[in-house]
Amino acid sequence: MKKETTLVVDDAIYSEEALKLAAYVFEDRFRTALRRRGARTEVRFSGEGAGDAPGEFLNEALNQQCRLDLMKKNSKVANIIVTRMLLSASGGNQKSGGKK
Amino acid sequence: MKKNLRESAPAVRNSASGAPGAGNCTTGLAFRRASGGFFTAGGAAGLALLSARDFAALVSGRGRRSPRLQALGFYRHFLDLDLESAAYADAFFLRWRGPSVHIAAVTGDCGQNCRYCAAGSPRPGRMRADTAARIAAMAFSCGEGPVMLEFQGGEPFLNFPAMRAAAGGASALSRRTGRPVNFSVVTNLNRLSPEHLAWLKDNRVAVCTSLDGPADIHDRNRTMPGGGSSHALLEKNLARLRRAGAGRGGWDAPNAVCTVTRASLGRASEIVGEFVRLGFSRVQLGPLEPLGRAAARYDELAPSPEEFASFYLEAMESILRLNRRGLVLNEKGAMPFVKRFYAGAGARYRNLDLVRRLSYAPDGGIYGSDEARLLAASGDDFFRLGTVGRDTFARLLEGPVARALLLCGLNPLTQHECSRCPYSSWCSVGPVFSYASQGGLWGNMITSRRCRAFKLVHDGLVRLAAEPANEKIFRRWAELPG
Repeated sequence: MKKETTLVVDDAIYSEEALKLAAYVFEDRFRTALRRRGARTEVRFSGEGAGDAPGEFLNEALNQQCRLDLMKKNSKVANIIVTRMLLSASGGNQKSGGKK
Repeated sequence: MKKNLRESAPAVRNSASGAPGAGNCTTGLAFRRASGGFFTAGGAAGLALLSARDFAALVSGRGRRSPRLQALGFYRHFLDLDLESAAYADAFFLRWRGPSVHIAAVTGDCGQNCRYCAAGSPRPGRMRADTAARIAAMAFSCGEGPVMLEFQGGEPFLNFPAMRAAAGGASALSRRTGRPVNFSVVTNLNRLSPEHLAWLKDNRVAVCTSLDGPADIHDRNRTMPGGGSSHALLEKNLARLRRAGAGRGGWDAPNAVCTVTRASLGRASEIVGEFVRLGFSRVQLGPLEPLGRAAARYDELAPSPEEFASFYLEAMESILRLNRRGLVLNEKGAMPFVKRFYAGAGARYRNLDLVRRLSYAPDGGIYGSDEARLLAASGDDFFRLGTVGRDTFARLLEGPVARALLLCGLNPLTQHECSRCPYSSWCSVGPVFSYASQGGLWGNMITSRRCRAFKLVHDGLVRLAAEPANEKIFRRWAELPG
């Protein structure tokens, strides 16, 4: 089994946050090290599972990137809803909620 | 919106060249190809199965306006704002006061040795009676309306004192507050003493058990450490339960869940037949959770998404055939779709972590769902929200896990695949499944086997709904309570 693999990704497609989140998802299967190289990032995988890492890692990085892009659009409304839920469940806005 | 069309429906793209926003334009559309057309969700609540031609007309904004689609909220400029407002409030929990279902796992001990046990834990332990009573207090400190207190295990009857303490506390609080309380127990029905039976009857406790099918499947999955047939015990005690009055006089009829494993494949009709033979009017076909003992053998035991969906739809065909012959029988997993599609029922049919339920471990640990509690029993406490007796409900909500769970319930806003999926408003892919199977609580819905199975099952349900012979049956199911 291959112990170390490297790939280079374009920062215009994958943000640092998406790459880090993807690395976290696989932390129990292989180690991931990220290194910025200009407008690209070198991703180095090591450990027992490193042989299959690039494909799975890129799928996950893309998933995280799409999720982050959507959250950029919707995070404001999602956070308003969650804040309102928290307030409502704590009894904080029962009166105003009742009027509405 | 345009991206959706280009990626998912190239055949429609040409006719969708009109600028969205003009004429009959649509709002917030999610769709899947199904049954020769498109199953489409628009706005906050509307669901429709459209022919390819009607779908093209809708997205192009050039066709004639359909009164049916207008009533369902598909046209941006012709919305019933009161209806939309109520639907969004329902979908996004704007009147949420807290969960109403509270699941107390009173013991990790169990008299069976099921090969797929999700509760197979290295930390069994029994709940103390005072902890159980505090769960009742927690249940009445949050939410509004009726409280549901459910007992789980292990096998909950192995800690009967804790069940009695929780139920007694809850009944007293119910009398004091005026909030109704209902009880249920998830039990393998291996042991049922006269004392247990009397308590179940006195408290009208709804009983849910496991039935994996005919004896050979059931006994193979659910083995008894000392030998013997768990199926025979189940059948005997089910009969005693019914003789005691379960299913009559305000006491709910017993229900059962079939955990679908590879041993179930090819035997859907037999399994449905066994539910009928044992007198159940509801079938529930549940997927295997990658938790506990099942985690290590998941690939060996669990069917693939395609196999699960094929099995499920074969079972549904069988159930529908029996309905056409006059039998009263439904399948629980289909109900959210049926209720939404035929009765416009809302988001309360989603069993969301923390939003709808809390689960309590024998040590008093509080989790957003039973799956999270089972994960913790295997040693991973990631989803722990707090401890009963020490933390108030308001305190549970302060942590980052609570906030993340609430955001997970808003998946059409937070998950890219869910934002395009017409089934997402009643989706059952939970954060614990994603965490256990894919390593993160958001999961990757493109590669998630639970998401794939859910979509395939619902593509099949849409196909069944499109058959005129089934409409009357589904409409009858939509009117069922619960």
